Amino acid sequence: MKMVNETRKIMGIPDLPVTATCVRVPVLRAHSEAINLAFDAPFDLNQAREAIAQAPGVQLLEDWEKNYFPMPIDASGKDDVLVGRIRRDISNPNGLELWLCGDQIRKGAALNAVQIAELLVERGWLAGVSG
Amino acid sequence: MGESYRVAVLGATGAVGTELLMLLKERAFPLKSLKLLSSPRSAGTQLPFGDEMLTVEAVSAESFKDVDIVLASAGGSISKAWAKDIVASGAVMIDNSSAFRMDPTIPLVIPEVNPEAAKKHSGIIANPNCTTILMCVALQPLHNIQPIRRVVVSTYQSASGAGARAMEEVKVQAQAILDGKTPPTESFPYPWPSICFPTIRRSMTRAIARKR
Repeated sequence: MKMVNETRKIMGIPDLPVTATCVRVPVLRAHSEAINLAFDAPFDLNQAREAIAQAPGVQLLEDWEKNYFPMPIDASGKDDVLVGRIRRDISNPNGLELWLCGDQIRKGAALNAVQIAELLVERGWLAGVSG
Repeated sequence: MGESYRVAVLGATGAVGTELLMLLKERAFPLKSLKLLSSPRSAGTQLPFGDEMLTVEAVSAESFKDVDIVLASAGGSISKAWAKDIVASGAVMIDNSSAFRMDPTIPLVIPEVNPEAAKKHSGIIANPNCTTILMCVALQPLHNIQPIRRVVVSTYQSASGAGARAMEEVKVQAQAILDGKTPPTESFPYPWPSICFPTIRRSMTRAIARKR
């Protein structure tokens, strides 16, 4: 339930339907995720790729001609989450499919913690702002 | 030159703890001082910080008195045990465990996704679960364009998430298979190179470990 409850809290959507199956695989380092998203209307694929390419903390990595998409070995030791294989859900016109790999010890744990510390320091929020 | 800060790493000898040290160095975090804390069992351990070697101290209530930021990564029970002392000392605890994540009074923060949530803290900020962080940094830029209505996710989580021992076991077992031998099993009852284990519940891993 961690992925369900934490995603809702972080994204501020308390009733977002989320379902997850978490599988342990014999890979040494970095986690992968296959994600299916539903929207109210079709999501333009180029707009999705552009949004991922420009967002902080993520990198678009896909080469459809060479059939190259993110793999755990690409993400190991890296700060950014690698996203690729962005495509339409052929079962739902308003659906989007994507694949990602990220280093769970870096962005998935230690890096995010250090970035929170940097955020507090940069914005002067160490003491906390009440209200 | 800006201000600098007194930082303590609680659980410094763990996989995340050592990564925290690497990142503080790599990102040149403005440190006034750095204190490494652990259980009495690991106290005295020397850990590299750049070119220096730092000695890990056993954690006590006194440990947090001269600290601004505590990066905690020693598990939920340790975080719960020391949270009061940390907050009382005036330091901010950034906690990697699941202990406080769903507490409605405690911010759960990914800086790329909900930085503003970090503002209203009362001494504790929770760091989300690894798979949640990886997913949310990819979802937020899409959600900004069109609201997401449903998420179906399958994860493929590496052995290192189950601990350093599991990671070592993957290597040992793969070698055994290459050598035509029966692979020894320790952390799971099945050889790693032949599995997709369809749950990551730690209680299950522990139950298996206990049974053996």
